[in-house]
Amino acid sequence: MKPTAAPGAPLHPEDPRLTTFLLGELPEKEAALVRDAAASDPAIAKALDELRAAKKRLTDVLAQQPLTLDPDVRESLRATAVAASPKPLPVRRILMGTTVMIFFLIIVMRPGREKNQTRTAHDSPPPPASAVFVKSPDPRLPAAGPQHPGVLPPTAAAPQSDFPPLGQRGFITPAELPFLALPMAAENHSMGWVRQSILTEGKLPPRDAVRTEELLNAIELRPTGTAVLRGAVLTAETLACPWRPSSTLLFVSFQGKRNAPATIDAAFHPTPASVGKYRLLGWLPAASAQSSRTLPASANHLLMLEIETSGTDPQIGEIRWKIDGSDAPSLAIVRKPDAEPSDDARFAALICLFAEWLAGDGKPEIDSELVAAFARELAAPGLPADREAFLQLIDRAIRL
Amino acid sequence: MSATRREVFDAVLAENESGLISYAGLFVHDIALAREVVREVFLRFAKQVPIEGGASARLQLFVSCRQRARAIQRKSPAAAGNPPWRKAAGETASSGEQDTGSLEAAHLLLYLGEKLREPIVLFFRHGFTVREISRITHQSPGNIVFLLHTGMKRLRDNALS
Repeated sequence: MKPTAAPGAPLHPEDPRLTTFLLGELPEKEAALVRDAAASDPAIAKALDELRAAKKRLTDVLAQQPLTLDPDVRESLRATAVAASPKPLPVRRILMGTTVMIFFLIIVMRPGREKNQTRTAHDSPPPPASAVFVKSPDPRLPAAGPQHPGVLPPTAAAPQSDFPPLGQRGFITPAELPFLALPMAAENHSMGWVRQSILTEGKLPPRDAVRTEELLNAIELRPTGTAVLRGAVLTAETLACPWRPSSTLLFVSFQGKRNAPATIDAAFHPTPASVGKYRLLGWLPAASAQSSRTLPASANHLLMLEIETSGTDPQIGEIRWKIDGSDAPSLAIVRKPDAEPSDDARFAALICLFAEWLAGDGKPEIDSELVAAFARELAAPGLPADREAFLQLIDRAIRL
Repeated sequence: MSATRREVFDAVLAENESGLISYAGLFVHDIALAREVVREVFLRFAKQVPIEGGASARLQLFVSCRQRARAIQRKSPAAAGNPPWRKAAGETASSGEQDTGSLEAAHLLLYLGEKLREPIVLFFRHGFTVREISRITHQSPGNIVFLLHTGMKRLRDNALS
């Protein structure tokens, strides 16, 4: 669907680059080419003049009449805006808030995580386990497959740090990888590292400290999409990707059994006709797949996939899974571009957006402005303490 | 603090109120419904802490407006068959407010297909860049350029001649 003319190719009167030039969206090098072509080719100069006239006409014709809300509605909205101002907290709320924050910090920095605050590769465990293929005799979950699906080699430009080295997962196509095993366990160091760096040291964390899957699982969230229950609960929701408009995010939650740990083999199977490429956010490959298959009792485990869709079929894949070796009903993943996503799914997308921004892999579409805008959209009075703390973390980070 | 917050909100409201109602009207095809959509959008915005204005707030409002308007569009497909620009163009003349500005604009919007209409309106009426339109509509920038090119060509060749 993109304009087909290759950069530097000769121009013709119907060339989309003429429109792009007039809209002020053409890179300078290409714009110079258009100007030269218009100076030397009367047909191109004529086409440009016609498009220029159409542009002016459109601007004039579409100039709109002023439309306003009812004065009472406007006043009511103003009152809401003023009433939502941050107010000094009463003592009781401060005490409750402090208790919640202390609890949150204990969770983040509890023993086993704390020693990793020293930021040495020796003290810190290796990056989160899993993301390798689950070995299973079930033909629906074949064991064969690459050990490191979609992992990009470390870039030379990556800054040196004493964190465990972090690679970056890249996209994979359904042809390359017809299904992707979903890991069932994430480590929990990254939130502590990121908070320490931003809040205590006043600087952005090194990219190796930013583990998307750990940040995602540090805050209690749950998709509200279709759920499948079978002792454990699988829930999934799709939403538009905030940093890549053509992509869809798939937010997945596995909730463990109430009273006992469960062994879960799960894999995402993309529909080749409707998925161009896809990737799991976070989760580096690790040596042990077995440890990543066990979901503790009542644990809630979250994953996020980014899926570049193609075609118009709303079904983009399914999640097939087994609990303790027994088949569970698979869950069809259907894209709903017009559906309003849940607040939890949007918050999960914000966490991933923030992590992608912090990891800074040269994605020009992710900047602090986008992070701030998305965070502002989710900020509201009465948020749970962990989400409010996370928004404050983002606020501090984008001001550094 | 309240005064500042109120000033920011007032500025954002004044800058975007009209544009948002017009934009919501593209989907819900009813000016009263469009106003209701915009009221909900501003209500959500009014509850944000902190509240900030500027270009990012504008973008956020349009994204939110589109989501809500399209949700209503899906629930009330009957409204889609009778958009106000169709009325303005004389096909089903009736009383009621129009959001299209002029008969010429009404013809123009009628002439453009649904796919082309939105990027054309966002670019030429609301002054968004291709990148911003891409964020609002969840389409790639390349696709937006293509749609703008096709729309301008169609209008150049027919409607505006």
